[in-house]
This record gives sequence, C-alpha cells and structure tokens, in this order.
Amino acid sequence: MSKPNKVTIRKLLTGVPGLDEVFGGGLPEYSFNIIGGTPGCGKTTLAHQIMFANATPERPAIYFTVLGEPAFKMLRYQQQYEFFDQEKLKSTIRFINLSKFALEGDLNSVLDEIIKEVGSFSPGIVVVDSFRTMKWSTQSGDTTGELQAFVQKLALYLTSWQATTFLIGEYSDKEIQNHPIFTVADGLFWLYQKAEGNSIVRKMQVMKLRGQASIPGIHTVRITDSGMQIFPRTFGLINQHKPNPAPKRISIGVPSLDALMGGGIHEGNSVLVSGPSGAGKSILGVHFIAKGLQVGEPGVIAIFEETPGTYLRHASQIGLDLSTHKKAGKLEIIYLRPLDLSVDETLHDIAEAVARTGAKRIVLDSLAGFEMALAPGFRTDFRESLYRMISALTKLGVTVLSTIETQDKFDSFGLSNYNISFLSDSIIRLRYVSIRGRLRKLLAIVKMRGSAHSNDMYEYRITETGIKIEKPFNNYRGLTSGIPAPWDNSEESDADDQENESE
Amino acid sequence: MNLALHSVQGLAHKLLLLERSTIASGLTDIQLSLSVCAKLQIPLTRFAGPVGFSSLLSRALASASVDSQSLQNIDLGPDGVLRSSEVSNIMPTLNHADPNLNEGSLLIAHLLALLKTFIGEQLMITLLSDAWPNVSFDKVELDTEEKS
Repeated sequence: MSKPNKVTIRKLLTGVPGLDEVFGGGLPEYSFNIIGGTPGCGKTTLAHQIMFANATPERPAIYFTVLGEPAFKMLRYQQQYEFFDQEKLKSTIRFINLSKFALEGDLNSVLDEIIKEVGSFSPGIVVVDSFRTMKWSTQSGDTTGELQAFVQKLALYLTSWQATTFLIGEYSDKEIQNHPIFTVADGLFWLYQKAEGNSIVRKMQVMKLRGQASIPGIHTVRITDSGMQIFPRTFGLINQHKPNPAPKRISIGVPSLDALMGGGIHEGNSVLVSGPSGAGKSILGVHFIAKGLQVGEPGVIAIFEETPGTYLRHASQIGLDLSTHKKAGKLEIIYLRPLDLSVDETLHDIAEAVARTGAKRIVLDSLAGFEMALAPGFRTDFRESLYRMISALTKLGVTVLSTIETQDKFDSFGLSNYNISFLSDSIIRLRYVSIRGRLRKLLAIVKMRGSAHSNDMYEYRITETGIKIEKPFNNYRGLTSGIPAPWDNSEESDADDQENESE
Repeated sequence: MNLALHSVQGLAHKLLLLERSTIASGLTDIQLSLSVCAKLQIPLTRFAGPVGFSSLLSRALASASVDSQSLQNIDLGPDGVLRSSEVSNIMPTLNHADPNLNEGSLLIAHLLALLKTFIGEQLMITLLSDAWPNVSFDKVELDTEEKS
C-alpha cells in the first residue's frame, strides 16, 4: 500500500541574507510567527525586510501598527534601508493603524478591523506591530483569557486566509517560558542587543519553528544600510563537505620544511604556526600562499594586524610577488580591524572571498589580532568560535595556515596562549634559543596528524629569499627551555655553532 | 520657505482645484482647504491613527497660520476636524509674498510637506489616491528639492 503524499509546505525566502539558512531553507508559508526582543534590537526592521521581499501585487502585505512606534516615524527611518522599495507602496504594501481600537482595549474590535482589512486586501503577509501593546491594553481589564482567545482566533483566521503572519512584541526572557500566546505560534524568533564595551552586539535565535529543522543556537546579526543580515553559526556551509577524503600532500612553500613534514602538509588540513614576535610566522604564511599561487591554487589572506600594502611589501622583500596575483583575482587580502566583529561575520567575509577566488589556501594572520578585532562578548568563547571557523573552512577543502603569537618563556615550550592546539592537524613551533649570547631561531614540528614527521629541532634563518632551514640542534639539551646547554661533548657543539655562525 | 513646502505647492493647488470642482460653488479657498483636510482625514487616520493625524494637522495649521491671519481663526477639534465660525467671513490676509500659494492651498501645502518629510513622496501619493480614488496622482510632478 503506497503512502499518501504528505502536505508540501512551501518555504518563503525572507530576503534577509543568512536567515533562510537559519530557518532551514526559508520560512514556512502561512505560518503564524512572533518576533520578540528588547527595544532597538531590530524587530521592526526584520519584519519590514521580510515583507518587502515577499509582497507582490498578487499577494500584497498589510502592516498593522498598534500602539508602538508611530507610523510616521517608523517609516521615516525604515525607508532609509535599501530593501525599502518605494514602488511597492503604490498598491502592494498597506500600512494601517489600529491604535484607536487598541486604546479602547477592545480586542474584538481590533480583531474585527484586522479581519475586515484582510478580507478586502487578501494579503500574503500580515504584520502586527507592536503586538505587546495590545496585551497591556487588555491586562488593565484583567482579560488575559480574552487575549489568548484573541490570538487563537487571529491565528486561525489569518492562516485560513493563507497569510504568513508576524506579531512583533517586546517580551522579557522570563515571559518566553510560559506565556500562553507562544503556544499558538508556529515560529518564535528572538532578537537580542547588548552593549559590550564600545561595541553593540546583536544576535538572534530561532526558539521554535514548526515543521522543519532550523539551525539551533544564537546567530550574529548586523544591521547596515542594506538592512539586516544574519550570520549563521554554520557559516553558510551547512551542505558543504570535504571533497577529498584521501588528501594529497601540498608544499608549504619551503621545500626543506616539506621534507621535515613527510613531504608536505595534507591538503585540507589546518596548520598552526606558533612563535614569538619576529620569528617569521607571517613569512611562512607568505611562502605558503605564494607556493599555492605558483602551482595554480588561488589563495585568501585574512590579516588583522598589518595592512594589505605592508603585507605585499614584506612578500616582495623576500622575492615573492603577490601583487600580480592579487590584480589577477587569484589572491584576495582581507583586512579586518574593526573592534566589534564576530567570528561568524569574519568567516562570512572569508568564505565569500574563497568562493570568489576559488581559493585552495587560506592564511589567518594572526589569531591574536583576530581576537582583538572581535567585540568583547565574542572573545569569551574565542576557542569555540575558532573551532567552528576552522572546521568550516577545512570543510570547504581548503588548507588553512593560522599564525599565533606566543610569548616565549625560558622555562617551557608552550604552543599558544589559547590552548587551541586541538584545532590543528599540524603544529609548527618557532622559538628563540639563547646560545653563546646570541638569539638563534629554532623550528620544530610538534604535531602532524596522520603523518610521520621529523622530531628534530632545526635551526632556521630568515634570509632575503625567506625562510631557510639549517641543521638540527642535535648537540644541545634543554632546547625547549630556550636556554640550551651543550651535551657533554661540548667541543662538537662549539664546532657546530661556529659552522652555523659562519654561514 | 522650506524646500519640502516649496516642492508640494503644485500638488496642494491641484487638490484645492479638485475640491472646487466637486463641491458647490460659493465656498472660499479656506473652506475648500478644510474640506480637503477632512477628506485626507480618513486615509491618514487609517495609516497613522487618530492621534497621528491630529498631531500632523495641528502642526500644519500652526505653521500655515504664521503666514495667514485668517488661518489663525481655525481650531482643530478633538475629533481631528478643523472648524471656524468665522470662515465664511474670512477675507484674504496672506502675509507672505509667494503668489503661487493662496490661503487655501497654504494649509494643504503645509500638511503635504509634513507627509513628504516623514513618509516620502510615494507613500504620500498612495494616501492621496486613497482619498481621491478616481484621480491619478502617478503623473504628478513634485518640484524636487534640487530644482528649488
């Protein structure tokens, strides 16, 4: 016996970048939704943006204003957004004020008025803003039950009339738990706004959405002249999968370092280069990107400290021309320095650059600068965010090289200040060692997931052609402390030192 | 004169003429302008609520009254209706020098200028179309601020 066909729920595209992905493909048509949140968090803007995206001459929209923001003022500001299509005001979108009925606290009159307008205009989208104010009106008359009945009738009527509905209201988190009207809603969308230091952080959450799997968790929101944009926690990569289950080895751009790493790094892996200031982390990143460009693999560099011009200059100083590739569109340098970014927004920019260039290699230089570019609230979960970000990037099949500055201590061999080594498939540690009154540079492959690698600690130098790997510091003990001492056969150590110094 | 007011003069005059063509002769321009405002009350109240309409109209009246002594005799009632017992006896007492604005269109122009300032031309035209459904305002050319 064949199964009967189930009802197909069409999904409306919201017109809000990123939101359809959060909803699980769009907003269910004819759903009855509540947009909640504190004042100023963007509820009205979100409703307007969805309305303007979906209102058509055939299925127009009605925006009911109740006792919230006056219509004149609201529209004065809303029409500054790019999504506000003046043409749609002619006959596609109607604004109707219900304050007269709401002030009287007569919910039946409000309902009758909505029914009358919906009946005559047959809208596909209905917004009631601000719905919370109607609650206040009825509470004064102790009519909580009346409110619930009103919402149920409203939901039934608007759904029957094939309208997708949004009620906008200001509710506290406490009210979300047990307010009766929330049980009626098919969708509950919450917006948050919080001042953190000098930054404003906006977030949103889908608390409930019947009939489809939305992305759980709290997503970053930004409001610009274009309107609202959501940055899903999944970074827009929800259906992306690592394309190559058995990755090949790729060169990091320094052949002698490739040799130490068993022939190169695995494509699609994450490599962490950790070391103190001036150790050459960025130069290694330049080698990595330049090598990719040389073999036809486009790249993206996300820098948080230096400017793109400085970065290109440093590359040219070691004989690597990145500018030509940048002009050819094979390399993008993303310079991010604002102090109110979220990881999600950053990755969104990087993912777009990857899509534009077809990048196979990414450099994040550096994670410390990245952390500084984030709003304070996003720094608290920096590790978790990094994990999501690097996982998402490597899912794209690109190889990620991140740099991180460590403060060298002369009694330990720390990998980073963030305890993030678990994020990386490979870790290259750079550090200074003090030998015979000179700071010399040491490189070690600390970790390489799924691959044999050299366990020796090598001396390296930064030359006019970039990083050059020298001999291993085989004759010293205590190298990880930064203050090594020669093994017992000190004569051999001295001879080795003199050989290196003479080069 | 503010730029928004300048840009809606032609439209204000058009509304006054429309009203003159549909209402019995013998009414003064100011009486016609009150009739125009009464017609706008319906769509504007629907759009912004009775308080929204009244507040906008009271502002328009106050601004227009600066240039017209006759308009100073008009009051806005709590129901959003403009009234004056002296209207029928009002003689023109326009203070400003712009010949394009008579006292009647002055009040309308101030109301339209406020609408244009707050909600923009397109929505204003939509609301006018609600009040005069048989009149096409699509081809109404408002003087742009650049022109002025």
